Parts: sequence; C-alpha cells; structure tokens
Amino acid sequence: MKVSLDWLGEYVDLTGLKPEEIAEKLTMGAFEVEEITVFGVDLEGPIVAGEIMEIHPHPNADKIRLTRTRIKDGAEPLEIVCGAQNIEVGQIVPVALPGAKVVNRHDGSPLIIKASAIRGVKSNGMLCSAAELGIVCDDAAGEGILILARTSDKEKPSFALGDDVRQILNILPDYILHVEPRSNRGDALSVAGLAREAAALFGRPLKRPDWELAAAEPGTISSGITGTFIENTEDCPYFSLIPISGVKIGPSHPRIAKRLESIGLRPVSNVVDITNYVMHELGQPLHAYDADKLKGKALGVRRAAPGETITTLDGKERKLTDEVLLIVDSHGQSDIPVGIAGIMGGKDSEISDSSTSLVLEAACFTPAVVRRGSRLLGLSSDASLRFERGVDAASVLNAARRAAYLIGKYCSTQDLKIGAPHLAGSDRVQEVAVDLRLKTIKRILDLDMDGKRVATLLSPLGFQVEEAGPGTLKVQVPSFRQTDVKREIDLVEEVCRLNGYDAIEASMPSGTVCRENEDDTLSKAHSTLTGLGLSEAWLSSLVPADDAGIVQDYLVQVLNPLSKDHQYLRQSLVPGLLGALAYNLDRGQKTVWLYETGRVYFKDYLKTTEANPGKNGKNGKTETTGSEKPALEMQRLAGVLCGSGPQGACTFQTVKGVLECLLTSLGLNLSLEKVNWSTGSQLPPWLHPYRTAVLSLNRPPRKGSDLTEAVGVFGNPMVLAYVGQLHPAYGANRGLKEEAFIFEIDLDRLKAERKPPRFSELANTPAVTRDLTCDFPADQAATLQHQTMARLITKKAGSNLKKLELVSIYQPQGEAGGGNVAITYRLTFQHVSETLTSEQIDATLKDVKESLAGELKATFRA
Amino acid sequence: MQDLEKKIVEMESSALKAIEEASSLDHLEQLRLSVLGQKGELTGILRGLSSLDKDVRPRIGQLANQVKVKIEQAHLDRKDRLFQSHIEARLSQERIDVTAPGQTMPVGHMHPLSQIRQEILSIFSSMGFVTADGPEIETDYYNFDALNTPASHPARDEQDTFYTNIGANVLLRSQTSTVQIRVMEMSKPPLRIIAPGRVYRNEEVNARKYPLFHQVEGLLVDKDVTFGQLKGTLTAFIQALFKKQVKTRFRPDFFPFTEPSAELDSECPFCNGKGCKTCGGRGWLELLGCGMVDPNVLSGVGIDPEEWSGFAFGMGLERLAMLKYGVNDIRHFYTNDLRFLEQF
Repeated sequence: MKVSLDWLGEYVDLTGLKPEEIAEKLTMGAFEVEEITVFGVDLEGPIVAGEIMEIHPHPNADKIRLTRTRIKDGAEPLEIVCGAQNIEVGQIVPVALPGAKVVNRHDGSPLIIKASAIRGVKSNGMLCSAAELGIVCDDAAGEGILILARTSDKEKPSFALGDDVRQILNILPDYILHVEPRSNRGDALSVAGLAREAAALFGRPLKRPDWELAAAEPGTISSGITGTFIENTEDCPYFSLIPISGVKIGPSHPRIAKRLESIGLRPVSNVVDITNYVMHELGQPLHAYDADKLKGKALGVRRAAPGETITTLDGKERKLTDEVLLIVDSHGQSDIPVGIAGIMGGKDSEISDSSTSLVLEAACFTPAVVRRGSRLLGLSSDASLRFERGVDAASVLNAARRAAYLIGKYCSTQDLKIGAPHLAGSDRVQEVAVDLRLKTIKRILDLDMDGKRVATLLSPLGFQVEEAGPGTLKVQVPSFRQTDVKREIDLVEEVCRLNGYDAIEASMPSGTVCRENEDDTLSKAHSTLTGLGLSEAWLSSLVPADDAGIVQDYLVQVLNPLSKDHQYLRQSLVPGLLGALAYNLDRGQKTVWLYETGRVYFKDYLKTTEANPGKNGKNGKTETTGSEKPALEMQRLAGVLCGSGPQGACTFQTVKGVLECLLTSLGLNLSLEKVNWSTGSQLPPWLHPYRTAVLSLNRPPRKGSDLTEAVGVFGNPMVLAYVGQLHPAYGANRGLKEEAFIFEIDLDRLKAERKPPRFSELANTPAVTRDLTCDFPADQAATLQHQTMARLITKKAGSNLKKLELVSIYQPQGEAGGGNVAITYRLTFQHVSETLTSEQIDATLKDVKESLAGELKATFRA
Repeated sequence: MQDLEKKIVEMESSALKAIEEASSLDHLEQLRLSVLGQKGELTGILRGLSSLDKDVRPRIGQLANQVKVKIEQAHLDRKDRLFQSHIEARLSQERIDVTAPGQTMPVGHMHPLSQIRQEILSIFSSMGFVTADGPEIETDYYNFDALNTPASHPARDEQDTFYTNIGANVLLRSQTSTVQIRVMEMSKPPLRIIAPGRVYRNEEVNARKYPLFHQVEGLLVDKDVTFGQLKGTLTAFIQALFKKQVKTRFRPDFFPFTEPSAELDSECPFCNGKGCKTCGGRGWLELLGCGMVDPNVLSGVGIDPEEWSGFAFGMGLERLAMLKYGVNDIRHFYTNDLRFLEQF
C-alpha cells in the first residue's frame, strides 16, 4: 500500500518529523515501510530567495552576465553568473546554492549545483527559472529567471531573503511510504487507519480533517432504486445504498486527482475517483452504479447460481459458482447480476460520461466469502484486498456519506439531490471486552506495568481500559480491531508493540533439556565421502514422470504442479544424480563424483499399516510410528561416480570400495557372517544386470520399522544397499555415453544398524601370514564367487584368522596354464595372548585346503 | 720378542694409514675385519699372548691392547666421516624440484546448504537444542490448523501450497513449523528442538524463488519463557553465525502461530549498516521470523498455556547461505555444477 505523507498529515500531526523518522517508527510498530519515494519535483539542498544587487557584463562572454546577489539582508552579496535576459537589479529570485539539486531545464534530469568557474569567473550558485524548479509553465516567461518579487513592489513580500523557495512557492514534494500492513491488520489499510497508528506510536494527536458528511434529502429522489435486500447476512452483514441525482461527470478536482496520482492511481472521472479516494482515505470500498442503467427497483446481495455469468468492469465475462457473492438488480420475479460483491462491479451498470444519477454502494462483506470468490475467479482488486482483511461494519455508512458529500461538492449540477440511504442488515457491532491480567504481561514480556501505563498505551488506538479487579484490566476493543484482537494474548502483543520491542531486555533461557538419541550418521558420512573425493549434490525431490521411480502404484503425485518437471515425488535419488552427472559432463568435467542424502516418498503407506495393525495410538486409531504420517518417507544416501579416481579409471571395484569404506567408517561390520552380496533381482532400470551387487543384512529390520518390506523398494526387506554400473541403455536415454557407477543406501536402516564402538584388546603376539594359491579348472572358475570361497576359508580357519585378503586372480593365457585359474589369498593368523606355532597354522591350512578341494574342486601346488 | 713388538708397531702404522685412506664404508669394514675381526691380525696376536713368556706377556699384551684401542678409535672416526660424506652424496643425488606441484588428491566438497545447516545446528546444539524431524508430506491439519491458521485465515493464501494425490487434505508442507506440532504431540515440555527440513511452495522459478527450499525451525517450551529470552537466544545465534558483534533489531510482524511475533533484522554485516548491494541499501538484513508460541497452538497439543510458555523461530537456509556466501541465484543450489560446489 502506498500512503502519501501529505495526506497522512491531514489525519495526524506530523509537524517537524522527517519522512525517514516516520518510516522508522511505523516499521518498528508493525507497519513495515519498504521504501520511501518522492512524488513531485525532487529538489534538494539550499534553494533560497535572493536579491540581485548588481549586474555586470561578463569579462569573457557576451551572452552571460555576472550578478552580485545577496541571500540575507545586510550580507555580502555572492557573485553568481547568469545567462538569462530578464534579470534586473532589485529582483528577488530563487537562488540555488552549491549542494542544491534542481532540474536540468533541457532534459529534466537532476542538476547538482557546484561553485565553479564559468568562462573564467567563479559562480557561487545559480539563479533559477521556473523550469529549473520543476514548475511547468508553457509561456515564454518560463524561459527567464522566476521573479518572486521586486524591491520596488509596494507590498512587502511575505517572506524574507534567505527563506526556502519551496516554502514560498508551495512546491514541497510529497513523500510516499510503501507500507505493508500485515494480513491481520485490515483496519490499517487506509490513511485514517495508519494515521491512528502513527498518532499512537508518536504520541501525537489525531486530527479531524475539515470535512462534512452529506445530509440526505428525504423523498427528493423518487425514481430508480427504492430498496435493498440481503439473502444471507452471514455473507454480508450490512449493505447500504445512497441514491444521488443531478450529477455531472467530468474530470476530477485537481486536489483529488493529485492525491490519487501520488499513490500511483490513474484518475478516471470525478465520481469514480471519489469512490477510490474515500476507499484509500477511510479503508471502505465503495461502488457507484449508473442509476439509469439499472432496470429493477432494488439492489441486493445473493449467492450466484452455478454457471451464472457476469461481465466485469475489465470487460471479461466471468463464469460463476455458488461460492461467489453477487450484487443483483432485482425487479420482483427475476434479477440481473450487476457486480461481484466486494471484488468488481459489472460492465453494464458502469458510470459513463453521460451518467447523471448514481447509486452509491457501501457494504460489509464476510472476508472468507470475498477471499474464496477472489481465488476462484483469479480476480482481485483494491476493494477485495480490503474486504478480505475485514472492514468495520460500524463505519460503512460514514464512508458512503463522506463520498456522497464529495460528489455533491465536486460533481454536481445545480439540482443535485442526495436521497435517503436504503439499508439492509445491521451495522451494529457487538461489544467485545477482553480481560488482561498484569501478571500475563509480566509472564510473557517480563515487563512490570500498572493499569495506568497499559491504558496510556492502548487508548490512543481506541481501546477503553478499566480496572476489573486486582491486577486485571477490562479492555473494550473498538469495532475496527475486532478481527485481530479477541484474546488476552492479542492485547499482550499490542502492549509489547506500543511499548516498543526494543524496550524488552534480552536474556537467556535457564534450564536444560537432555539431548537423547542424537544421531551423527549424516555428519560422519559427509566427512568420509568428501574425504574420498565425492562432492555433495542437493537435488529436487519434485521430478518429472521419467525420473519418479520404480513402483508406480506408490507414486506421490502433485495435483497442482508448477510444471511437468515438478509433478512427482521421487522414489530414488539416482535419476536426479544421473541428471547432475550429465549436466557436469556437458560442461566439460572429466571426473564427476557426486553423492546426495535425501528423502524418497511412497504413498499408500496408510493402507499398508491398516493391513498390519500396529499398536493403538492415543486416539484409538491405528498407528505405526506414534503419529500418523500421510505417506512413507525414507532417507537415502546415493552416489554416482564417473571418470578416473586416484587409482586410475573408475570401475565397479572403485564404487564398491567407496561403499565398503563408507559403511565401515560408520561402524558397520561387513564381515561375511553379517552380510551377503548377491546379484539381486527386480533391479531398478538404471542398473547393469551383471554388474550390480545387492548388499543384504542377515536379519530383517527391527519391529516397527518393517516399512521397507511394505513398499518392497528393493524387493527384499533385508537389503541395505546396492552398488553397480549404469545400465548402458538407461544412460543412453539420458545422453550419458560414459560408464558410470552408482550406489544407493537405505539410510534409515543403516542408522538402526549402527552400534557405538567397543574396545577389544590389542594382541602382543606376532601375526603370521600365509599365502594360499588354489587352482581351478576354467569351467569351475567361471561360476566361482569370492564370497563362497571366503566363507569357506573363514569357517575352516577358525577364530585365529584375523584377516583374509584376495591377492590375485591369475589366468595364464594360451596353452601354458591349461585353462586353469589360480586364485591367491593371503591369510593372517594371530591369537590375542598365545604365539601360534607353525604346526598349528599348518594344520589349520590343511583343513582349509581339504575343504576347498572337497567342496570347490580346488587343487593346490606342491 | 723384538720382532713381535716391531710387528705390532708396524701393524699399527699400516692399519692407521689404511683406515685413513679407506674410500668406502665397505672397504673400511674389510680393513676392520682384517685387523680386528675374528680372524684379524691383531686378534690373532692377542689370542697368542697366552703362549708367550710370562715376563714379556704383560708388555706385549699392553702394547697390543693400546694399539687395538687406537685402531678401533681410528676406525670409528673414519666410519663417522665416511658415513657423513656417504649420506651427503646420497642426499645431493636425491635432489628434486620442490616447486613442482603436489599430487592431486581427490577432495570432495560438502554442499553449501549442508555446511550452513551444520553450522546452524551446531550453534543451537551448543545451547541445548535437540535436532528433530517431521514428514514433508503432511496434512493440512499440521501445516495450517494446528498452527492457528484455520481455513478462513488470510495467511493461508499467502503460501501457495502443493496438494497431492494421497487425499484432498494431504499437501507438501509449506513450512517446517509443522515439526513443532509433531514434537509437542509426542513429548511433554520442557522442550528445545531445532528442525531443519525441506518445504515446498508453488512459486515460479526465478533467481530468488524455487518451488522447494529449506528452513530451520526452532522451538523452546518451558516454564516462564519470556520474549526477552527469545531476543537473547536469537541475538546470540546471529552473532555466532556471522562471527561478528552485529547489531540486531526485533521488528513487529505477524504469524498466525506466534504472538507477539517479530522479524529479526541484523545490521548488514557486509557494510556495517551503511547500506550496500547485499542489504539493498537499507543497512538491515531480514534474517528470520520468530515469536512467542500462540496459546492456541499450545492448548491444541494439550499443553496448558497458563503453565507453559515458549518461543519459536524459523529461517530460510537458502537465504542465509546466499547472504553469507554472496550467492546471487538460488538455482545454483540445485544445479550442482561442480564449479559451484568446489567453491565451498
């Protein structure tokens, strides 16, 4: 909302206050001023009345002359160079002194005055023409210096030398505050409303500007509208019409036009401008109908019928529903819509240049109804904004009569008549009194206040404060504040605001709260992954259909998406990461290692939990996790690797190494007794079927968190993570030609599996390592898995085996090896307290070999 | 016996000479072995002492021992010097160009939003706030009604909300304040929580807006919590975040779920309040919204507002990160260009 300070000054005494001070006070009083702009000519600095004492030729130029001009009685005159032809000794003229800002008469740009040499003679200012002061004048006189007075004048001027020329000419600029009252303060969406706040904040008196209300002339208007009605007072508590005849439509009075222009409105015609003027002045929207275009005898308020239409003032035909409130022109059996209540009038009854009779409507519509209508129609206006925030029923008629008075004053012909108002509903507002306990002020604000102080703060805003008992005040809320002040806390806020937020001492809360169950998984994962060289991405969880995910039945869809790219909630982080990968490769990056931690989303979770009832929640409803969540949201951690790593080109082993390193750093035991790697089934489409490993734990999730199963993301509740190569076809569809590698982890499960570290004793005995090379025939080797061998070795080697490393897999080329494959493991044995003997280790190795030979047909070299 | 004495003296001089002339550690070691080793000359003499006459034995023995000590000493001296020059030779051979660049190590970068989130959480964690969490897919009850924003409330229109196919009342939360309600339903006061999370609003994408962004919500509920404590806590937070004694001001504002409500501005730390591009010339930066928890919110979750009071606050991660790091376009945060990520 824009507010003119000049206009505001009509309602509250702002004498002596700078625009910045007013803006600051309003801002700190809940009315944030976002900007101050200047309306009118932006003149700055010293521009004063000066008397030309002498005029001399310029020594170096013909067309300009040198004046000696004094700007104070008895003062030493200043040397000022002037090019105008109309100057004479004894003239009193505007003098802009160095530092002043005036208007460049050639192009209207700002002109800053400096003391400078003009053709070798120093000039200490500038004598100004009307144009240079921003005064528009068409005649030739405008070319010369503006003559304020002459010393020869019989009448002494009303000003002295040195006085501010802006004051003398009354060309002070107006300052416009761009202020945003919050959505609960509909009462302040007007000059008068904001003035009330300014008066309270500055402790200045409110002014009653010099205006009158129109008095009706009963019975003088006989034709046209003779009545009004409201279908339902819940939609519209109060409705008023004032008939006016003998109107002459024309341009607005300059004073009104200037006010509207100052707040950015374009003047239209006198009557329309007055309705706008009064709305901005008092906050009450008004509408004027051309009485001659109305067909019926009564204007009333009713809901639209579904499918009904109206053409609004902006020329658009609007299709209505029964949630829209209408103003209708009724003639008995039927009626015609003439406006959308509180939002916009109808085209057919619009005021035109030839209108002579009006019906002026002022009403109070229910905020929720106007808001709903405005949203449904996608149509809002200055009027709807105010109705949505609530107008004061008690002030409706007052505003209408103010407008009628102004119409009478500025738009009348000789036989102007103002009829008696037609009223429906009631403008009586119930009295609201709220109890305010001083101890509540103390408790919330830590302020010690007595009733007198509270009254001093609240009464300028129209609250009536009286003692209602020890420590309790009874506060009568004025009608215009009943939308936002209903409870004690609302008054506490008013007290806080008016007393000043700055007046409250800062302190620190006492007491402590136990920080239970704090989880550090994420921060640990960040350090491990960034340490390994992966950078973190943050991706949109709103994705296009292509990237949404795997389980169509569980897709969460946005019904009112911003675009097709933001239509679904993702079920995996991977498609987004692949997008980020492609983006970076396209920009010339060779190595892109990215990860993300984020949520994935599944619908129909409620259905699943109903099928498997958990414990009963406090409402007696079925609950799984204690509070009902409309969908299943799971935390994931995923990564994508492309390009070379520190050890050369990225391979499946690289990404698996990253995953293993991450999980190990988070304290997960990846020994093969605890986990299982498999090739998996029902893989997401972005995975290479023969280069993917699915990591499962050897037990299901703990009870109460068996949601993975419910959704079946990986087709198996035991799955913790997967790692694999990008499916070449999936990649090609996304413009990815390079090999890329992917991992994704169920972060919720991971968190649940983590255990705090426990110390185990360090061995002081020597560790013994032995290499074991097993030979397999080629056909046997083809299906052999490390996991099978390692399990077998670990089982047979027993608890003294501390470490098992796969050293090499060697397949001699050609005839030499006879197609055999040699696999070498390194076994490290150690006992925590005993030194193991060669014999013990040999015996263990013998067991291992026998078992490998028996179960896997391994042979060993001598 | 003269011969033996003579032999010892000759051996001494020749050994000392040879030691002095030894050119390498290996050569020196050979010399040592030939004189002092198991089969060395002098060792042989010392070993043969027992077969000498008693009257010459002490003299010869003394002489041989003196010579042995001398030779040993000379050997050690020479060894030290040879070692020294050997090391020096090796070191100078190992000369490299130390100005050549180091090996490139893989370095990953945490996303700037993660970094600022971690910073915010750690500041509040030091003040005893516990991290909390809530769903992003919510019902309108948690997003609005429980936050004192009934269907008729104008504040509902200010946030353009996304609705889902799960149900007419199921939406993507537009604010993390939902977590306040979820936490207060589950736990009894005293409470101190800090809840980071993703929120969604149906707004056209531009340099300042993205349909999803991130907030950090805070809530403290206890006995006798005052507006002054809200001011103290958040002022301490801002100074910890900017690591500077910045001036703050609490400006009245309106949120349906707090009363009194405030916007916290800090004096622009980049221009010290003089006005610059970052603060749009105002000298103040709008940082976060806050206020005393509305009694309706407390009683809605079964907490007696006469017994307990609290404050809540919420801030936008993107906004703070843009201010702190000078990022000029919100879309950079979601594009994940490595050239961007690697700056943090």
